[in-house]
Amino acid sequence: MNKLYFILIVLFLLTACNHSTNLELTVSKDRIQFHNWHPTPKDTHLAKIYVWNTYEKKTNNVPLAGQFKYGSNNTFEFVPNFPFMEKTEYVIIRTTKEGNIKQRFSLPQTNKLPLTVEGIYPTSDSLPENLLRMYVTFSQPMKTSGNLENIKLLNNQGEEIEGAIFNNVYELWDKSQKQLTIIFDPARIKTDLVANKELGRALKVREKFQVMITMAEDIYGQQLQKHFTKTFWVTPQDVSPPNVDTWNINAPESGTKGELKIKFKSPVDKMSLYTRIKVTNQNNQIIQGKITIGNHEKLWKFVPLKPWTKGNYKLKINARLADPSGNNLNGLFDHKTGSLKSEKEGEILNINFQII
Amino acid sequence: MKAINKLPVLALAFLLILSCNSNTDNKETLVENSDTSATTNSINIEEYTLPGASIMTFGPDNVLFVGDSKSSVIHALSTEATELKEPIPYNLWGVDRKIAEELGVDASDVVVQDMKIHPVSQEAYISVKRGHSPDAKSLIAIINPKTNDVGFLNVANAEHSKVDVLGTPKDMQNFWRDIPASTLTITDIDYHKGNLYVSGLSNGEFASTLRVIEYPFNGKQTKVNGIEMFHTVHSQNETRAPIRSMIFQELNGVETLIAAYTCTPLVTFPADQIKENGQMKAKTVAELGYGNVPIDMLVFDAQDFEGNVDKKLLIINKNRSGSLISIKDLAAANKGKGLTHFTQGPEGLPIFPVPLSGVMHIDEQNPMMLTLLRRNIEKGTIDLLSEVKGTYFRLSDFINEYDFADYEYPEGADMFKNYHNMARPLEGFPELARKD
Repeated sequence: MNKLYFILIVLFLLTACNHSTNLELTVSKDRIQFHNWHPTPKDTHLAKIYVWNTYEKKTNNVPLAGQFKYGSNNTFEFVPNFPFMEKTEYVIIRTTKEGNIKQRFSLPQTNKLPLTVEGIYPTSDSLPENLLRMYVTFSQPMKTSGNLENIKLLNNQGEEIEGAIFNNVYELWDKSQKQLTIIFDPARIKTDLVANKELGRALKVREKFQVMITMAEDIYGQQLQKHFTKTFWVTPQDVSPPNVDTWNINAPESGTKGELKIKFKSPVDKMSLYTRIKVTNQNNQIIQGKITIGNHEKLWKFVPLKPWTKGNYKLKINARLADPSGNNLNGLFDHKTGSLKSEKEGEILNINFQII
Repeated sequence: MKAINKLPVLALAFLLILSCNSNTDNKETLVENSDTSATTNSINIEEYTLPGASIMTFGPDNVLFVGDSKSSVIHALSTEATELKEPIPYNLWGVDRKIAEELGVDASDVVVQDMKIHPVSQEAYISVKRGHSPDAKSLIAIINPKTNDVGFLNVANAEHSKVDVLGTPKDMQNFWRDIPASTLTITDIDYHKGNLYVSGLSNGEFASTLRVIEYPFNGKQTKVNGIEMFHTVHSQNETRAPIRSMIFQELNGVETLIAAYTCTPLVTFPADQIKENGQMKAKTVAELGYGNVPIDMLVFDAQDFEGNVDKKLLIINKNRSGSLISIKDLAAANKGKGLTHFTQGPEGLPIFPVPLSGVMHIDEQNPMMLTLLRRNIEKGTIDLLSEVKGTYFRLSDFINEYDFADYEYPEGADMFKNYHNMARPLEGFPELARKD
C-alpha cells in the first residue's frame, strides 16, 4: 500500500514538473511550434525569445521581434520577423506563477556537404607569366570578406610572393557566393608601371608555383578541412589576343538539340565563355540554351532549349571576351595607347552560321 | 513506525518539488530586463530591408543614395531628421553587438558595409547585412549621438527611387541556375551637382567603369569608356585599373574629380572630360605609397591650434596610416605636370600621415569632429567613435605620462593641458579631466 502511494506521488510530481518546465518544440527557420503549450490569447505576451550572447554569456537585452499566435492545426507558434539563424542559440523565457522559466533551443543542424574547393580556373596546369585572373569555386556559399588574406601565391621553394594578389576592399563574388574572382596585381603585370619595375612580375617563366588557400569559411561556419593548392608551371607571357578567325565552329543538324561547339586555339576566360557569347536567329532573337565549357576552357558548347530549326544564325561576340591574361578581342591588356582595334570597348562581332 | 515509513516519501516529494523549482529561474534570470511583458520592438522585415546595401552617400535634400552591388542598383531614399547643432561625440564601443541585439542575431552575423553621417542630424547611418547567406537582407541602422539608441531606416515609408547600373542585357544572365553571371561590385559613389558618379569593379572583367547618372533618375546614364593615367614615364600605357575612391573638389577654379587607385596613386581629372564613351586622361599628383588600398576619401574644413582654417583632403587606407593633404597643396600640385619619375612614395606633394589605422569608414560629423567606424583589434568588436579634427587621434587609445594623477603639467604646457581637458570628456571620460 505504501509503495503504491509512493509511486503515485512520484508520477504525479514528475508530470506536474514536466508540464511546467519543458516545452516540446519544433523549430524551423520561419517558426517555432509549441506542442504542449496552449496559452489563452491574453497570456501570449508572457513569453519572449532572446538570442544567447556567446561573448558575454548572457541573453541579449532586446527580445526577438515576431508574433506569438495560433497557427494551423491549432498549434501555438512563434513566427519571427527575420528567420532563425543556424548556429545561433536562443532562449525562450516564460513568465509563470512559479517564476521565469527559461529554455534554450536552436535550429536543428541539417547535414551539409563539407566545404571544399571544387576548382580553380583556368584549369590548365601551365599558365602564362602575365596571368591576370583566376576563379575559385567552392562547394558551399561563402562568407564574403577576409578571404583574400588567406589566398597566397607560393614559389617552388614554398616562399610566399607578397603583394601578388590584388587586394581590393570588396571581394569579387558572384551572386551565389560560391565563386571568387582573384586578380593578380595588374601593376605587376603591366610593363613600365612602378610595381612591375621595382618588383617584377610575380610569376617567373619555367618555374613552378602554387596558389594556396589556407583558410575559408562558408556561411554555415564550416571551414576547409585542409589547405587547398593548385600547382602550375609558368609559360612565357601570352601576347596574342583572342582572334575569332582562328575559332573552329561546329553547327549541329536541324530538328535536334545537338551541341553548337566552338573550339579555341588557346584557353578563354571562364566568365567570358559564359557571358560574352550569344546565339541569335535570323530575326535577331536570342536563342535560349545552356552553355558548358571544357578542354581546359578551349571548348564552348551550347545546347538550345528547343530543337534547332533550319536557317541562318549568328554568334554575337562581345569584344570584351578575354583570355586569362585579360587580352580581349579588341587588343592586348598591356597595350600601347592607340593600338586597340577600336576606341570603343565592347563592340559586338557577328559570326554567321547555318543550321541545315 | 508508520511515520517513519512516510518520512522518505515526504522527503522525496520535497526533493522533487525542489528539483522541479530549480528548472524555473528565480529573479536573477538570464535577462537584465526580466520584465517580459514589455512590448517587443518589432522590426518588420518588409518595411526595413533592402535586397543589398553597401556603399552610401548623402545627396541633395538629405536623400540617401545606397549602392546595392547584389542587384546592381542604386537606391535613392528620402530621410527625415531633426537638426542637431551641438557637437555630441560618439563613444559607442561594440556598435556591431548593439545592432546585432536589435536584429536578433549573434554579432558575428552582422556584416558592416559602410557608414555615413546625416548632414542635418549628425546621426550615423550604418549599412549592414543580416547574416552571411546570399539571400541575407540588408538594413540601414541609424544611431543618434544623443541617445546612442539604434533604430533602422524605414525603407517603405521613405520616398524611394532606384536605377539599374549594370546596363547589360539581362536575357541569359540567370536563365540557368548555377551559370555564372557577371556582377558589378560598386566601389564608390559620389553626388555632385545633379549627378551621381559610380565607380565599380566587375567579377568578369578588369576595367575601369565610371558611370554618371543624372539625379532625379530619368534614365540618362553615361558610361566613360576608359581612363588613362598618364605618368610621364609610362605615358604610352593605358591602365584599365578601377577607381577605388573618389570625390569632387574645385581646384584652381576647375571642377575636378580626385580619385585614388589601389597601390596608391592619387590622380585628378577635369570634370568636363567625363563624357559618354570618352577617354579620360588623368594627372598623377601624388603616390600615397605602394602596397595599399585606399578605403575612403573626405574633404572638410579643419582648424589648427592657431585657429587657422584650412581645407583638407583625408584618405583612409587599408594598409597604411591616413593621408592628410591640404587642398592648397593639391591645387598647387595640380598646376604642375604631375609625377615624372618612379617612386614607391609617399611623394608628389606634402602628405601628412595621421594615426587612423583600423578605421573601416570615416565621415565628417560636424565642424569640430570626424566620426569613425573602427575595428577594435583587442576585442574584435566595431566601435563608433568621434575624433577631433586637427589631432586625428583619441587620447584614450593610449596610456601615457599625462594620465597619472600625480603628473604635473610643466609651465608653458597649457596647450597640452587644455587639449587633454577637452578630449577626455569628449571621449567619454569626463572623470579624468584635471581640475587643477
